[in-house]
Amino acid sequence: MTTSPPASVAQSLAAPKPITPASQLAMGSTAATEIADSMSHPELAELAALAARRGRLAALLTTIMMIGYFGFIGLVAFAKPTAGTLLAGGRVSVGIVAGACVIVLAPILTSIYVRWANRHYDVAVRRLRGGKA
Amino acid sequence: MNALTLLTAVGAEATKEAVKTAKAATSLGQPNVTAIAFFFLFVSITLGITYWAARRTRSTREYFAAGGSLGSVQNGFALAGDYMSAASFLGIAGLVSMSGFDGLIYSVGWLVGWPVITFLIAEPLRNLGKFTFADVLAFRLRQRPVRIAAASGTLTVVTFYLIAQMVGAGGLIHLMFGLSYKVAVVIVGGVMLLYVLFGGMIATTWVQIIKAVLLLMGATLLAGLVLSRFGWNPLELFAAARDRYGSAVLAPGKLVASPLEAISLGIALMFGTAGLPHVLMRFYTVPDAATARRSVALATTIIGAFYLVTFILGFGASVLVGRETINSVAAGGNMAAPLLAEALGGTGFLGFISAVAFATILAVVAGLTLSGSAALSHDLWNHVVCKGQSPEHEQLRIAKIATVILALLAIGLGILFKDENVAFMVGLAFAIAASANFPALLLSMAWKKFTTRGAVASMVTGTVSAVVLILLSPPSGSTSCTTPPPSCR
Repeated sequence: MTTSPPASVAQSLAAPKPITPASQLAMGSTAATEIADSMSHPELAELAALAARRGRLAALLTTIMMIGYFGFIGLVAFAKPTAGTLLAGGRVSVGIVAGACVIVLAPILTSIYVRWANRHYDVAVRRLRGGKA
Repeated sequence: MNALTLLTAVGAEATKEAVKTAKAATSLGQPNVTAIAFFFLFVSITLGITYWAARRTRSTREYFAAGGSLGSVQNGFALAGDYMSAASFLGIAGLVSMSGFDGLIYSVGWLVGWPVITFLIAEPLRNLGKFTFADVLAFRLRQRPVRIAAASGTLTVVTFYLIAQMVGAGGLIHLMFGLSYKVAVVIVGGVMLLYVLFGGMIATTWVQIIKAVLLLMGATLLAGLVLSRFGWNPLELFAAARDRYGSAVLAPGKLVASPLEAISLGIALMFGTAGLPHVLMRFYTVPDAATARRSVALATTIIGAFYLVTFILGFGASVLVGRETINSVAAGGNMAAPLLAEALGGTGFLGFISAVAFATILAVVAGLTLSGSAALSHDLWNHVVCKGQSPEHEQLRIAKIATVILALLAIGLGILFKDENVAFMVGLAFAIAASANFPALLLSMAWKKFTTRGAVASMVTGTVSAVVLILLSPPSGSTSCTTPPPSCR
């Protein structure tokens, strides 16, 4: 793992740098720039595809979270009577159920992402890095 | 997050509704032997840990990031401990007890920032940074301008958040222990300074872990006591609240007057979380990205569960203690949870919950101070003043000087701003975090053509517009506190 600051942090004392494929990868992957720099083309392409897949999953999950959350906020903002509609024999309201669902949704989505990233993404990055050596 | 945040509009409405009765029969405000015993136990254990941690804190990486040595469970609890302030606990429980449903809006909003952090900024933060989020901006933008802007944003957020916590601490401790306001502020600032100055991130982390465990235990136990009276069915509890206060208690109330307000509040809560420097800093305290991700997932779960529990506590207090009684002790309902503890578990349990609230504030101010110290030492001193050439021991010395300055500042401003509305300053801190820190951070990762000038402009505009707009607007917080109760200051 790349716990040490990438070389780039030290370098960046100088002028702004353009985004290279390597720096893009570092932004979305555990592979540090210097690793990507020393990779062959097919590996680099595979790593880029992997980073893109991570980006798509992150975007999808963010969208789901936003829809859930702003759906709840929208319910409170634009449909107060609906939010106040009673359910279950008048013992709970639509708004409370919706809010509780959003609270439960957040850790579920986070866990899905973390599971994928730790089990597939990191493993694939590590395999590509191993291939380099 | 701030307890006292929640004393705002809804608190005011509730105050009007509530009948002002004579001070309820409670031992709150008198020195409580159990509370003092628990508090001393907590402080001695944590200072013992600080002594142990001090010997492991020799480099800046150890001071700011615990040497990157924490496990995912440790860091997950510490993240939750950083985030769950006395406010989430006392404030949301109080808001729910006074107005029912509306408290849920804050709970939901304060949770949904976490998945966003995980999906969008965790990886780059982890890969490109060392101690602060400015490291990420400086990765491909010009160092000095972006670091100055990012450090200013961080310090502004930290300062307002610190003042809010200190002012809240003074008020709460005054209420709970009967100590004078100034003494309470000095104690919190002094103990916090010992943790951060000598123990750095390692001591701060353990303070946060212990606090998170105590807070979860206390809140869960209390919620269990509540639910045991309602056949372990939350629906029966809601029904009892509805029978007593009408079905409005289960519906959106007066917290958000217009749709625009609701959406604006929603955005600030969500993205404010993602721009809080002391939360972002915790990505650097673990050895690798996988551990960082696991710890955020754990923190999200803990915080989500905690907010559900708090919702139960609020309803429990409104039914089992009653709004009139809660309001007679402190307007706005901040004392709902301690009163509930007293009603269900006696003075001993009240003492435990009070001590936990004190510990909670200590842990949060420690995390805030450390992140402010990192901005001053790492961003401003090392990278801006010394152009990255400052030797290690000098950076550490500057960090410790910065910690002392921030602690004195927090104590001084806490006393100076005694009568300021806490909600106002927490609102400011969240608004700045959401409009200054988060957009620049996100765009520097997502937008290839983002330039240094654009980053600085976005951070300056965010900070200035948030501060100016809040100063110019009629703050709902201040109108609700025309006659500030102790906890409202």
